[in-house]
Amino acid sequence: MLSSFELKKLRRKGSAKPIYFAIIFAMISFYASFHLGIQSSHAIYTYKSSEKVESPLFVEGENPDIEIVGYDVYITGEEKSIAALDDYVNYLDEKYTKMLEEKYGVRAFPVFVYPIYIERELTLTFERKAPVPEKEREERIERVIETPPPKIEEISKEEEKKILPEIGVITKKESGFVTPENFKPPSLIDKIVAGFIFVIPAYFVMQAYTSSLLEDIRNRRIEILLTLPKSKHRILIEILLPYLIFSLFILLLLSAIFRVNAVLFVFPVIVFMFVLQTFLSLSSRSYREATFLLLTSNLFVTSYLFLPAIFTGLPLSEISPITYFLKSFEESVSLVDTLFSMLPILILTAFLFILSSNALSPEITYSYSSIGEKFINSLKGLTRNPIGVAFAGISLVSAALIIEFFLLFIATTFLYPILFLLAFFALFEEILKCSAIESNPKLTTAIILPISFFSFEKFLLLWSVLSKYGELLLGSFLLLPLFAHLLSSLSFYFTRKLGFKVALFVAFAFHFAYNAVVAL
Amino acid sequence: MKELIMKDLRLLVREKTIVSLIFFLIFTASFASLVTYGLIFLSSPQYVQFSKAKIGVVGDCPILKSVIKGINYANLEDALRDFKLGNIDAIVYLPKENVSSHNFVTVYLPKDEIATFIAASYIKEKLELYELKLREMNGIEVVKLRVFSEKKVDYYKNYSVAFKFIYVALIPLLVITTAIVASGLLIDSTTEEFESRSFEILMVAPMSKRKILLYKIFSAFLVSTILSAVWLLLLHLNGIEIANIPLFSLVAFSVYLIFISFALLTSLIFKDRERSQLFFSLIAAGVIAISFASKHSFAGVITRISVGSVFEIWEIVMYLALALVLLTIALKFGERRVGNDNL
Repeated sequence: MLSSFELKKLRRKGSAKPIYFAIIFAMISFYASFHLGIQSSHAIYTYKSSEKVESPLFVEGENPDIEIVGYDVYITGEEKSIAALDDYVNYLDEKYTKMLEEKYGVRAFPVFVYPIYIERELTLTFERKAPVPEKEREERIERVIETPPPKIEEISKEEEKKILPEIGVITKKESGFVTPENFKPPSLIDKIVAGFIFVIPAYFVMQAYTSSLLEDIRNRRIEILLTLPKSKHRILIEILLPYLIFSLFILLLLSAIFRVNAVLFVFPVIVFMFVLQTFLSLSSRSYREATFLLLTSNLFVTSYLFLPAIFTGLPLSEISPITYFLKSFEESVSLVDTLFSMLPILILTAFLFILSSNALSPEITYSYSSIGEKFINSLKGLTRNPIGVAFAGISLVSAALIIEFFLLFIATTFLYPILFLLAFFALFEEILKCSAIESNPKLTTAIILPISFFSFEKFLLLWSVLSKYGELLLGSFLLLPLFAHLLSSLSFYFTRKLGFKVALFVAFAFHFAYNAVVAL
Repeated sequence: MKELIMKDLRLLVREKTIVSLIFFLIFTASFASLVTYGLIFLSSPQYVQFSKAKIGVVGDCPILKSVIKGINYANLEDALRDFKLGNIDAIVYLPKENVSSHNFVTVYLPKDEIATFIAASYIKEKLELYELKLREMNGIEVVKLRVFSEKKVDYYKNYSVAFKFIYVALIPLLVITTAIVASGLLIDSTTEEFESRSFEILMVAPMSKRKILLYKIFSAFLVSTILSAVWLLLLHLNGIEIANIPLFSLVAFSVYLIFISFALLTSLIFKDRERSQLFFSLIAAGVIAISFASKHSFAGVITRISVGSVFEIWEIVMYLALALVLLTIALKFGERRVGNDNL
């Protein structure tokens, strides 16, 4: 079996002691770093005062960022100076609270807060949604009235008995009654680091895997493997298997240690990353190109998985399964929602696996074509029949969703004009669609592909995945009707004799024109 | 010699790897901007200004009502009904205000909505104010800070979160990313020479082994310089300034040289890409993790220099010296390793 060969190959390389040493070094460093906390921020501000500021962030110095005279603070108005003021206020808050505790005890804390979070089903308000009928509205109000409110007085008294003797502890408490200073809505941002722990080990396993695969390509072992009486799918699975099993083993171990179900949420993501890296390794022309493609894809996928969790509360945060994973640390999450957040990843995993199997041939792997050309060549095997074309269309919607997620976020950050953003949406969607048509340039492909693309987009909408995007932008501007998809795909098909780039531009022009008209 | 450097650089251009690299950096910068945006949103959502929170207040609590300035409700049922219909974003409930003792306030917030953060942030601010009022009324010492600024400022609570993220995390991470990319390039280039046996051909050239290795290092160093220029420009365009560019560059280049020299040593020891990259990545990951745990670490020094804070000259000299020592060791080891065994 190829999997056992893969393991033997690793052992044959020579002593593994240096690698073990490196693993131990990395683990000790991570532990030490976690234990010590972030100290590289120490001494970033300078201050001038007759009284010592006992915060590690501050150091006495000339040209101070803040000058303190009693309770008067002088700042320059520069960004750093304002930040120093903010951290000085935090320092004073802490010092003041401590003083109050010591001097006045319980009396110094007259207010305690108890937050209750209630799920409410509000109608999303983007332009195209029909208003809620008056009758339904009234029914909802009745339902709300029927639901008795929580008995606050009882909670208060019960909690009161518990917390009053521990008032010093209460001020630092994260749940239940807290002082106004310690009151904050639940956020997943604190858990993101914990989430990384489950993914990071897989990165190193992936690196070993891609290095081994690249070496096989370079030494032309792939050609020998292809002579075996096995299908390409089987060869690929057998090469991947030991690495996937090892990643799964680490994940199970971490799940047992931290008592969470990481396998359900994280393992499909890891499989996706493995398959993506397989395709990139098979498509790269040299070690250099592979290194940078793999590095970029790692950053891209990691951001897609973890970035949404930062924006807890925004509907967009729910597009990543990692958000549900982090939520599962404290509450039970809906399996259906989790699966839908995983849907684009699962579809792309299958799509990339087929593409990688197709790329596993000397004609593609050993050609000096660019990655774009190899992508089109790998698609050829899939788009030979109508079912394959339809599947390609569905998969490309998933890819487009991920790309548009980034464009949307980048647009939110840099605030560039909406038309510019729509142009990028149109461009990326057309690159994906036109590549698929180019792989099998037939009229049927140019018709089936946009229909499947459109249908899957609508399917996602029906399952209210896209309606959540809609609150921000996509719902209003991106749900292209079938006509627009067909028009751009057919225009590409009929103009492709003028060359791929010209035809792509024509398709893009139609798509963008439609987006612009709808948006404006 | 020039040809050796150009050979590596030409390959980068031909395979459009350099484009991928620049895209990678732009993406890193965007990623960081998004995180900054997210942090501001979490810490001060009112600053992002999606919308203003509408708060309902219930109970016999005149002082609290005067502080919150929300919509007053006669009972909790009415408030909850409006809350569920989306007419208000939160409810603050205090059945009976007790000026001389403790007040247990219940806050109803929506679950997993943007309004949760906006309303919670507003309520927190108002309850802190309420707490201060009650303290004053009870004769408890209250600290009132007066701030004087040379120019008009746009201050909001937790202003320093995004600022520290940029200077404590983003800028050191850009330096580290550049160092890792350049080192990865060197490992690829060197192990490729070993695996394709092209080192043998280079040995025939009228050039010392030291020079050959030196040029390999130089081409990786050149890539890191180009990338640094790109991200420095990106930072500048985003309005992020580095306080002391010459000293910052000196430390950054020392870090690049440390990583690149270590990468050369690794590839000379293992001679195959697989183990070299894995070993290097694991060590680099450990170094990165620990580099944020001390103010004297390179991340700490980079932070303080870039932000224009106090630093010691020895901190800069130490990294430069370490870089030069590692470079010498790598070259010496390379001279022995490249020449004396079966390639």
